[in-house]
Amino acid sequence: MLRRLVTLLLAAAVVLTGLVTASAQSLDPARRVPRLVFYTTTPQYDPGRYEAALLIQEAFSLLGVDVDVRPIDQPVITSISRSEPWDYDGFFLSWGSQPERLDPHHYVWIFHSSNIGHLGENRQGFNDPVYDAIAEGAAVSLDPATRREYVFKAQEYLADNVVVIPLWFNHLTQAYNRQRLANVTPQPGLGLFTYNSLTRLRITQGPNVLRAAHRQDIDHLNPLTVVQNTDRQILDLIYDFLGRLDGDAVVPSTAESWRVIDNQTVEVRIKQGLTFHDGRPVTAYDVKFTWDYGKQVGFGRADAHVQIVDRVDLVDDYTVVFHLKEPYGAFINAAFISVPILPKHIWENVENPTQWNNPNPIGSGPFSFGYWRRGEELRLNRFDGYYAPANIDGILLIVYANPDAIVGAMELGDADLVVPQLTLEQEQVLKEMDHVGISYVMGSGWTYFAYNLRRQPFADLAFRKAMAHVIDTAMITETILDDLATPAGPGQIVPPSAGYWYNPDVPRYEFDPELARQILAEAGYQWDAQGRLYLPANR
Amino acid sequence: MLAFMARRLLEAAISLFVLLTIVFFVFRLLPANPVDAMVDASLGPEAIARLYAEFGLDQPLWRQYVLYLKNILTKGDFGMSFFFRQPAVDILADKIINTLILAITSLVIAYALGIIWGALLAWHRGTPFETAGITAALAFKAAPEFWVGMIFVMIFAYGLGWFPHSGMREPGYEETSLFLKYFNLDFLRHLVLPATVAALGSIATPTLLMRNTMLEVMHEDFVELAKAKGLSTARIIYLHAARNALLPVVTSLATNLGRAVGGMVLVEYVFSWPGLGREIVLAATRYDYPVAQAAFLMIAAMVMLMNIVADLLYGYLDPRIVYK
Amino acid sequence: MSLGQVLQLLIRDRLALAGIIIVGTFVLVAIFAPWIAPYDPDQIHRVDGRVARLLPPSSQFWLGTTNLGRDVFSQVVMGTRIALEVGLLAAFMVTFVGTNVGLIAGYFGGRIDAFLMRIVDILYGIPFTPFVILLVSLLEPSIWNVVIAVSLLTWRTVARICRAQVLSLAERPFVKAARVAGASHWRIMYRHILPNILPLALLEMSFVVAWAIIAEASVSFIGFGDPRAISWGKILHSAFIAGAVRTAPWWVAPPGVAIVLLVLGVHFITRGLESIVNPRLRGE
Repeated sequence: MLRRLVTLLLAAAVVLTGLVTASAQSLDPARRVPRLVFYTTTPQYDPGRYEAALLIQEAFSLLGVDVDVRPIDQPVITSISRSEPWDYDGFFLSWGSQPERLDPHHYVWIFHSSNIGHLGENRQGFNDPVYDAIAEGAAVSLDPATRREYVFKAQEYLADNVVVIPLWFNHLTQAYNRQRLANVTPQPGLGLFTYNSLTRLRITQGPNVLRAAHRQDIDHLNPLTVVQNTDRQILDLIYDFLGRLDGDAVVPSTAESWRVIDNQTVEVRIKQGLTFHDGRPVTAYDVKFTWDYGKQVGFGRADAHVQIVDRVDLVDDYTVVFHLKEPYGAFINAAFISVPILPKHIWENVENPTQWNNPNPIGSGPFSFGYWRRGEELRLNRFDGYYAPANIDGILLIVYANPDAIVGAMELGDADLVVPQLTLEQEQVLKEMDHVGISYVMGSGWTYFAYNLRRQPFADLAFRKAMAHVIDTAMITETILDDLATPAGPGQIVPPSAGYWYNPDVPRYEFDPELARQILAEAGYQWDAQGRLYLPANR
Repeated sequence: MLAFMARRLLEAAISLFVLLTIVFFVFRLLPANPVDAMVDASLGPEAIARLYAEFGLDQPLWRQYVLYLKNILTKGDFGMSFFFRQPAVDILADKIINTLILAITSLVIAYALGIIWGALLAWHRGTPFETAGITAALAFKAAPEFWVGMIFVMIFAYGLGWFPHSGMREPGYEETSLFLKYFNLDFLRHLVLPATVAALGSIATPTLLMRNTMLEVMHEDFVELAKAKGLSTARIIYLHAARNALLPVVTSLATNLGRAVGGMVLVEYVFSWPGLGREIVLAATRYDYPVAQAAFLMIAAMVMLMNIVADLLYGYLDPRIVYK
Repeated sequence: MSLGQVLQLLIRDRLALAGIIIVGTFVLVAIFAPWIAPYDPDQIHRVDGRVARLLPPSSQFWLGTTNLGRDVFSQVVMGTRIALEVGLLAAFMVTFVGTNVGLIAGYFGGRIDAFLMRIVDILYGIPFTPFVILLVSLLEPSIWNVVIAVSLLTWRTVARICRAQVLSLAERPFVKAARVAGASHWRIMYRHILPNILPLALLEMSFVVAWAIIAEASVSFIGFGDPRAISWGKILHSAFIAGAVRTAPWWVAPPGVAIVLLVLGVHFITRGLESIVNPRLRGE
């Protein structure tokens, strides 16, 4: 009897072990998709990106993939994603709203294979000759209709291949004091704290100075080295440019007019009678100097727009001709509005231009520099010598440390305008105040999830498509930002605010976990007993 | 006395030197380097390489260290701020006095209130009032200053509107003399909440110390006798005891000066008070390490200075101390 | 004095007893936190399909919700764990290092003492909060690094105080007798002297617990804490940067109250220990 029992138990044990090893052996552990590492920003820097990463971590678990979300400092994310050895699986970053980003060149060109490499902008390593041809077509075409075809095709291609997943298009939701401000004209893609809005703005009661509340103080005002957003916003008011963005189009500002001679040559006539804030005249010499000087010392953010120029010919006191090294379709749209005109008589005497903080910036823009009390406030004054002077006497940029303080300032009437994008909480509270109006405008940037195309599983298109079906950008956007952002999707790299260039008909991916798993199964992926994903045998 | 001063100063100098070295090497262990903080999407590889060279980050470590020491010790140059493109010292110089004002004001308030409160507690020894009083003092010590700050802002700034919620002055003030910049009503109004919050954070020490020393001074029999004799006599004895108990408390104020200066960080942060503490937080967040370094060393130097001052005061106040 | 004797004396002090009860309650909450918390603290709740943002306290969410619909009560309950972990870890580390340094310096004296105390002196010049902030901002944000940052400086006080006590003890007759009897240095230090400085060590330890809890909360509040850990400081940090101080007192008050209660309990125990160490204060 005992013997029977023992043999039965032994048999059962053998069978069980057999079953277990059989199920374990059916999947080669080397094929298992490893634990992926995604880098995102800390909640203090951007709670939105942090929460998005957590939600996407959940989404990946639907596919059977484990994700480790690591919140690190934003500069570190930039560093890791741009530099060898690109040791990351995924990261979360965001493109801010800048005037030149309303032209699609910036976004389309990122994914060209020439940008792969150490410190290159093509961080994911997307290398596709078909896409390269499309991007090149967009870059060189000066005719808008032809260019648009290429730009549309680029968006479609990136969506088809799930190259990157923009999560939402950033909005610019800004609050202002309705009782004091009139003629409030928010600019699409840029909001209220920008050239057009500020020069048109009127103040109906009280002191004729606009008090703008900001979270972030300026660092310094040297246009050659500026990286920070607030600096950029202020410099855009102090300096003038050949052209300015007005709605969709670029209109002449310092320039009187321009003429495209061929796809590498542009002639520009400068307005006569313009002066800098110190009274000296603005001439073609300053324009030529700006480009020559910039090429020599480097022009920070606008470097690409300056390096593309081979030489600048001086025709007369008010006319220059730009000769480009190669055809560059965005020259007028992007370069004209992002290279500030530097006063030659000041900059030719500067010894160390990239180490200089330019404490008293002199430009030819609508506002001149008043004073700066670091960490507290910055004062700009209207420049009456501008060709189209503003209505307000000046701007006082006040730095507040936290969102509550800003709401408090608006409530008490200490501030007239909130510059940075409102948080949901701020918007809820400010909406209820009678004297506060809120401007809702779409920005020109997007927040995105990108992944290392050099590695599995992201190198596999089937996986990317499956992934696209579990990342519900609409739900993610609504959870984190409610209606203060517009959901995006795979490949949607041109924001709707770019208007003409925005392709509304790219392929979209519905949230469908079943379909996702089906796609994976058909491609040869498998799951083990614990539900973890395994790569197909041939990877 | 002079020899003592000299010795203390030498000790402080050595400490600072060691600190300088520690700080230098600790900062170079950054997981990210600060150039990345300034790297923007549109900056090309050449522009980035230029940035590295500009800030001497392409040099070997030992050379950076030598340069660092040379600059600080000979020129008082702590390096250029990566973001402001100005010497770190320039950025921080006018913040020192703001931290000092806040620290000293809060300490004075804390000790003034603490002495009175402590004396009261000693007088009501053994009553529930005393237990409640001790609990209250300890509760203030237990409450994190930043939280108390948030609550105070909630109640007194947003709720009642009695005081401003942040900053040191109203924006747009007309800058006049240095004296007038600080001695005006607007500044004082802005000082009230942060100084009070900081004071509450350090009120426990003087309160309990005063109570303890008074209890030591007042012998039990003595007090019982005084009470039996009549209230007025008891009062005189009470005041006499209080005066004697003051000495250790005041010397405690001196010794806590240094600590207070270093401890304003959180209050400055919550109230956006433009002092060294806030600067160090902002700089550390952005990896602007010349500024973070300089702010930290300045605070440390001030703390050491305050400690030396405290030692001297201590010797002056307490005749039992003899310096060799 | 043995641990048991210390405990006996403590219990007789009313405030100290209250402290023990308070801290004990928190320890229990920490141990059973996952069962006490009604929800997963990270879970985003929805009501009628919309995210349950900034809801005031209700029967469903006892302390209301955060700006992303998370249950505040669950977060505060889970936060107990981090607070106690940090407090106790730091306290053990600091007491261990500080007591040993104090013992060695006080007992051996001479060059060893001078060297060790020179290090302590230099550390005394370092301002605590700025140093912790710097260190934590440079290291990867994690609980462990916060503990290290707090511990690196705090041991200086423990060392100094223990050393002072050891100095006076080292000259006592029983120590001299042990030496004559041929006991080794280490035996004298750890078998004979250490038990006598035990109440002092415990006292210092309780100081450090309180200190460490507040230091961790402060560091997390500024944003340098471990983003994946739920600590009371981090809850307050989220409230502060979300701009909820004006509108959501239910989010701002409870974590602070929790810190105050726990640290107050520790302070009560500290006072009790103080009167044991300094018998003059006892029996007032």
